[in-house]
Amino acid sequence: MIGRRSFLRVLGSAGLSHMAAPAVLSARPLSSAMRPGTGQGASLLVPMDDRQSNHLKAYGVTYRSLGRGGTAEWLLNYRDGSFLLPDGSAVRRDAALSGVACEPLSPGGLVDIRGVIQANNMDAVPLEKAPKVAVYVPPSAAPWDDAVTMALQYAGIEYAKVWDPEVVAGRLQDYEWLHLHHEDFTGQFSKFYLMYSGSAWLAEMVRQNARTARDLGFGTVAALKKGVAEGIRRFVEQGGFLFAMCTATETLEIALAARDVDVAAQYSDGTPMDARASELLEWSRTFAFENVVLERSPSTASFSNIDGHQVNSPARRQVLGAFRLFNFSAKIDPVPTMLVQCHRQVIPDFYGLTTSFSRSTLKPGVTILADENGAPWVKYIHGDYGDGTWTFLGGHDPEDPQHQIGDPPTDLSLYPNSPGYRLILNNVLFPAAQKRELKT
Amino acid sequence: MGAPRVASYLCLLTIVGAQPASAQSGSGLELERRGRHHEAAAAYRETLGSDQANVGAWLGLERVLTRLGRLETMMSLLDSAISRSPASNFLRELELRAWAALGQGDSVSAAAERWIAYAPEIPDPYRHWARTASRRGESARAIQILLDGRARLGGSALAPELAQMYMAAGAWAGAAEEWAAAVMLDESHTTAAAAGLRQAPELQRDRILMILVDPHREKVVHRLGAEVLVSWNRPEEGWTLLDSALPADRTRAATSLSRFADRTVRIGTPGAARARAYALERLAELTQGAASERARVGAAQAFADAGDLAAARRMLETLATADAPPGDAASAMATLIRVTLESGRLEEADTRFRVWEERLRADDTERLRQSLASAWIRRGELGRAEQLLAADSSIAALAIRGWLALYRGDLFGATEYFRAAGPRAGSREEATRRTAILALLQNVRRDSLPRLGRAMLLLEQGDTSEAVDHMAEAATHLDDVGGRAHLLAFAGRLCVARSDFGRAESLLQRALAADSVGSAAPAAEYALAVTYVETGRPEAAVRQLEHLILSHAGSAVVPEARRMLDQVRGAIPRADAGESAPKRDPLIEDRVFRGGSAV
Repeated sequence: MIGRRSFLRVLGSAGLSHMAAPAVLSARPLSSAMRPGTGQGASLLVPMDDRQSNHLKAYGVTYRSLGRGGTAEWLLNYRDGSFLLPDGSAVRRDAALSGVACEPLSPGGLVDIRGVIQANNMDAVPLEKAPKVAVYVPPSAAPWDDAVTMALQYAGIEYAKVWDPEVVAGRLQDYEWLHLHHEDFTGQFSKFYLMYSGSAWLAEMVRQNARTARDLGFGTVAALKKGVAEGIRRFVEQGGFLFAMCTATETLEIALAARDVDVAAQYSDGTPMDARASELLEWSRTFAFENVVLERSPSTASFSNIDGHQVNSPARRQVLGAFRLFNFSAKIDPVPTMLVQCHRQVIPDFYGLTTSFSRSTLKPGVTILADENGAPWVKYIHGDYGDGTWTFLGGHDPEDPQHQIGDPPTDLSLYPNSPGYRLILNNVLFPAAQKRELKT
Repeated sequence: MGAPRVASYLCLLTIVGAQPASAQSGSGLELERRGRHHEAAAAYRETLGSDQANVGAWLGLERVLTRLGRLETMMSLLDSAISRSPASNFLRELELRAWAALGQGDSVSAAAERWIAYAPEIPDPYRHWARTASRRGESARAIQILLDGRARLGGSALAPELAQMYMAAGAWAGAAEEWAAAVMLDESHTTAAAAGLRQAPELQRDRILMILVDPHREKVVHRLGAEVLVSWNRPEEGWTLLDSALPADRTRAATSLSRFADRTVRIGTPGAARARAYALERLAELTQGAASERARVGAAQAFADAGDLAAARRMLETLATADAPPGDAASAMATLIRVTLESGRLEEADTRFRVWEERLRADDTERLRQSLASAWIRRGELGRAEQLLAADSSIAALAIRGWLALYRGDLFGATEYFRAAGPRAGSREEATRRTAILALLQNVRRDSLPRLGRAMLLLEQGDTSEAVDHMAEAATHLDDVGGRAHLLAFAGRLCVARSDFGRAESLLQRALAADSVGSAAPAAEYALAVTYVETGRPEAAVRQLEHLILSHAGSAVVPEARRMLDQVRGAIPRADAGESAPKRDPLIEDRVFRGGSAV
């Protein structure tokens, strides 16, 4: 696994200068056949603006091109974040089967594009390696209740499933990218315990977690999840890329801050939440938030004031608006620029158990990638931690804004141009920009 | 509940009424709009200096000071205003809200206690105090405040507020208890109660129902139960409950029935239609004259929608022949003819139509005539259908004449009629179906092919198996690229639609052997892939779909092929779409092979 610092150092020197002197950037020269845009092999442009027929599968085509040993370039802000791939029958076949629009480029056309990129707030970032992706889900989970696994599945990007035993055993180091979705790291079963008591799926969730805790030597599920949260924190600290959505964002932070504090309700661990829990939390150990006030009621499916929308608390619930992606300088801030590549700047919001992040709880160094104009919350945030990075996106499913338990799964073939899902896939390809350390 | 609330509103109105049209307040608002918050605050203060009852100025001052982070500077001014107008609920509420916004929980409590001490008989202090607690996320505290208020005020005071708080806390049984108490005090809470309880999780619903259908409770609670059941898409149970809980007063009962019937419309299931029909039938009994007749027609339509054609006829038969106003009678008769036709009593429907034809509304006449013609066609009596349409020059009639020509094997005539009818005759499904057949006929290079006409008529009559045989036989009379491939592909797709996969595979492969590159090939390949999926050969399906996508990139079938490829590969879900999902052929409308009517 390569740390963020070396990654950024390389990125910083790999943008435009890559075009000027590509050989300098790579310790291992690429074969011209596998390398786009060098002038020796033909290139295919995968436009990501409104000319693209299937934005989501375009990420899969790019990922698989990398997987076949080729390289690619991510043309940040050029036609809404297009990809440049080496032309060849395999790529063309893949694109045709996937319904992904591609444009063959003449050498002259490519020069023109590079000129446009150089003259504008754009950059070309080399993508060299398909990242090893892991998703934290129970082993038996179907992919259909998790926006990321749905996106990966639809785009055709391979991923491994990891769960508590793998995290506790330190196996996260085998992966570059880890995704968390609606896991409750406070060990309170998403606080559905009272509202959905008696339902089979909840009983199974409790049984499975309790057995795992016992097998791994933890006294309670809450203790197990704190241990898992710690494993995830170490993964990021040592250079991993973390992407989390929905409840995982908020509860991971609470679990990290609550290492020595009981934040779980009595139904979960046999003892009530510490009466002074909010005051005792240690926020120096977390990625994104601080000064958080916990929700004390065990029957309210809300965890804290991190979430701005409080969807399961009718008295506090906020209506959905739309969020706006920020613009960054592609040449100076390539990482946030990659994360916000999209063909829409304003995207309809969508609920989740954690929908958004209150501005008042954000740590000062957090980079806001998207917010709702004038609202006291933000939607999409990013930051560094140790040698790694983390990115949090609020909400559950970008194309099912009011997702309920038991709703039918989203069929992404009906939303091939989903801007919200693009944000997820930006995160998947973002570690692909990771490069070998320069020999200095 | 009602009296104290009225009192508090009156108090507010008194303040509002006392204020002159304030230019200063207006300038404060203008400054605020321009973002000049400091100056706006000064303007609002100036207004309040001369008119402490100016609600607009208070609200403006609260807004701008909150934005400036200086809300605490409002409190002394507010304190003095309250001293002068201690009965002002508005100022008291503002004080609670401001202390809460400042995060001064103790001051909120103290202000609320002062308000209660001043006006111990009204619920407002508890209501607003609880709301501030709730906004801070202190649900339990909010509930306790309301319970304290009830203990002091007595009875079921603050029931709607408690219900809301219980719902927010997920305590649904408690919420149902409170809503029951609220509607017993004032039935107008029913709408809010039903809207709130509608959101109850599935697992909590039985507990809620136990409360709302408790036989020891008043009927108004049962009526709430009926409304909640409808909101949970359980209209028939709702009707059972309402039926036994109607008020004795006829006007109020009629209101309840109308409301119930209206609520069931959006559900759109046969059960909802049946519940609606019962409610409207009862409404017809309770009302008189035109209102009664309208209810009866509505009940008949609802019974028909529910599939209970006998009940629909029972509702209509007296109406259509009795002393009903002519318009109502004609409308009822149109419905009766439709119901009779849908019951399969074609001769009777035809007779009634001929008797009433002159008195029906023009659009009903046209629609019924075409429905009857289509029904005669399905019966195989093409002559009677033609006779019915003789005087009909509408484009819908042209379309039906096209079908008549087709069933007689007159492919040229059918093509001409379909073209003349254009895309707007009949429903969208009907137009799609016509277009699909027109596309097929354009590839069959014959002016006349009676066997194909016979096949199409059999299809219309629902005998798909026999139709496929005739179609395959008709194909043998055609050249490979002169329609054979198209007819075989069409027949194969019909077999797929009726899950006859063995015959489908054979026909589709024959079609592709006849012409693997022509316009029939993509749909044939798609249908073949469906056959492979349905017979447990996903690898063959993937190969076929990839071939289709890569060989016919411009075909309209390709998006569906990609979608199926995703399903077969597990890239998108298919479980909830049902097992028949990939079986559906996008180019064959269901009615082509179901023999549906044009009614």
